[in-house]
Amino acid sequence: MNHPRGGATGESADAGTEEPLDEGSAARALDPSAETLHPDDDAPSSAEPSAVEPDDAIEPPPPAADAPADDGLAPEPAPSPPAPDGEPAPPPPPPALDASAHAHVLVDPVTASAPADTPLFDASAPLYVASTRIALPPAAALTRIDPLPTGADPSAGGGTPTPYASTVRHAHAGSAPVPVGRRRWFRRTVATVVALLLLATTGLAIYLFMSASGWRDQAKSYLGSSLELGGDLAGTRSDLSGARAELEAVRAQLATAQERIVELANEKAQLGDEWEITQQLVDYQERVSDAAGQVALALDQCVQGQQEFIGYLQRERESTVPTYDPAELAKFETDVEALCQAASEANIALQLELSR
Amino acid sequence: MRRAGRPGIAAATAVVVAAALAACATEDFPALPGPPVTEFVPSEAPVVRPSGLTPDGFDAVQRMAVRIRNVGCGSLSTGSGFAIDATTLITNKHVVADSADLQVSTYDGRDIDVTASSTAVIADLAVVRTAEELPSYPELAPADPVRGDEVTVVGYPQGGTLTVTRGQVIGSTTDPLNENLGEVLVTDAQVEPGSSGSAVLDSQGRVVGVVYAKSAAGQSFIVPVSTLAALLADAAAFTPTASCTP
Repeated sequence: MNHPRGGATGESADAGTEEPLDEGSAARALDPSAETLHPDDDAPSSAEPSAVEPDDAIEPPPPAADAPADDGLAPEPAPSPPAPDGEPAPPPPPPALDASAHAHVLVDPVTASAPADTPLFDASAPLYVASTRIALPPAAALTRIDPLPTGADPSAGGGTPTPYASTVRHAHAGSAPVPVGRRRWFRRTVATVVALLLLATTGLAIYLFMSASGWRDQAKSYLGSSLELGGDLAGTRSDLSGARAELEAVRAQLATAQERIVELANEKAQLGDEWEITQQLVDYQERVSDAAGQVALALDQCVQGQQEFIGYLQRERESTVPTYDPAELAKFETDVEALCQAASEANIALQLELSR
Repeated sequence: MRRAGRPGIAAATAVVVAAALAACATEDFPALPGPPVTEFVPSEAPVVRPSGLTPDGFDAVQRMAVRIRNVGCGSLSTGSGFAIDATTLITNKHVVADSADLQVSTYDGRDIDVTASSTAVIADLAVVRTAEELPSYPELAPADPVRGDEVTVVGYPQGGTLTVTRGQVIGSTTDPLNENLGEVLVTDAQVEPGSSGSAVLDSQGRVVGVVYAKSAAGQSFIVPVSTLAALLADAAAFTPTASCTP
């Protein structure tokens, strides 16, 4: 069962009956130095059971209390943990544990040819972890983790996952060993992610192509509209220019017309004034003429009366007997003098009217 | 080394592609074009700005002025006036006094029949009613102008053409002719005989006074709009104009 960290630990905790190592004995065997010198204290990912990606047939390594035992099964020769202060450099691991001199170290040196019941380690051989020699539990306390399937070739290369690759670690200096199962899981994950991203990228490309096509078509449509509108705009501008020129001419005409209107209104007002003045003059002349006529009529009557009175007086002088009644002659003389007086007054009034 | 490089390259590629995909979520990511715009003409009608145009191109200042001919008994005189509503004119009392006939003409020469006239007792102001509607009329300013205010006088100096002159209020004084109660305004706007009754307008075209006299120094005397408004508000302030006797 593939399960990451926690699950593997839990399973190993529950599998007490199948645990090859007795917890008490393993703890006792590893107790002196495992807690203080455990190389995975600083790199738990390389030694934690949860980091192991076992196949369904693989049992996970024991939990933390069994970690020294796991390390006892897979000592790390190259990436030595930092040594405590004052301690000498750790001695190199025993050559018997180095399955690959320069590439990989098979911590779990189980091969296809190994018998299924073969103990994993020589209980009598010392096992070095980091700089501390760790005494392994007796061989009887160790059991093989999983049997090797028939036909499996554990030496087929690091790239081929095997059921026993859970403890294969990278041996390069400075790098933590990576389990093969985890690498495979990592590769699968990366492949899946890349495939998904590839699909997403493909979809994105299709989307962008459709978007670009749409925009291109719309831009082409807008270009046509722009050309049409540009033509209309040019025509409109030309019309506007002509309209403005015409407007200026119309404004000039309007100003002229307004000026002319004002002039005509003024001329009309002046003519009206003149007409009123003339009308008043005519009225005056009428009055003067009437007065003059009256003066003339009065003078004529005066003259005629005076001439008639003179004739009366001549006939009265030539005749030996009185022809006219002297009283009537006196009355006639008075009337003539009244007419002449009226004529004189009318003349005076006329002269006064003329003098205004 | 080769095995170790492949996942790294793949991871880097994945990161780059993921970053590119993440960029798709930004606002700048090109979206599909929407429906094409086919109507490019603005839906909103252009705002019509008031241009001050009149039906015949004359300014409102010119359209409200009238020329008043006072045909007396053997005499003739002219003056100016202005409309304050459709059928009411304001002018000076001495313009319409001793008249046998009042004749009103507009800026464009149209004659307006006069139905009645009345004069104020305490100011050189008169109100003339017309039979036809007048072309235009302004509104009265709410307050009198003060010293330094720009004023415009529109009238018919010497009974001639319609003339617009400008000046400034230079102060106020008591009426030198003793025809008006209270103070009158003095301006430097050039007026002539015949300008009596001309409207004095402020910069906004509102009536601020009525010209009624001038001095030998060329200063014009103005009945302030406050006096005019007060008299217009008093119905008993005006009495019918007495005609002349031949």
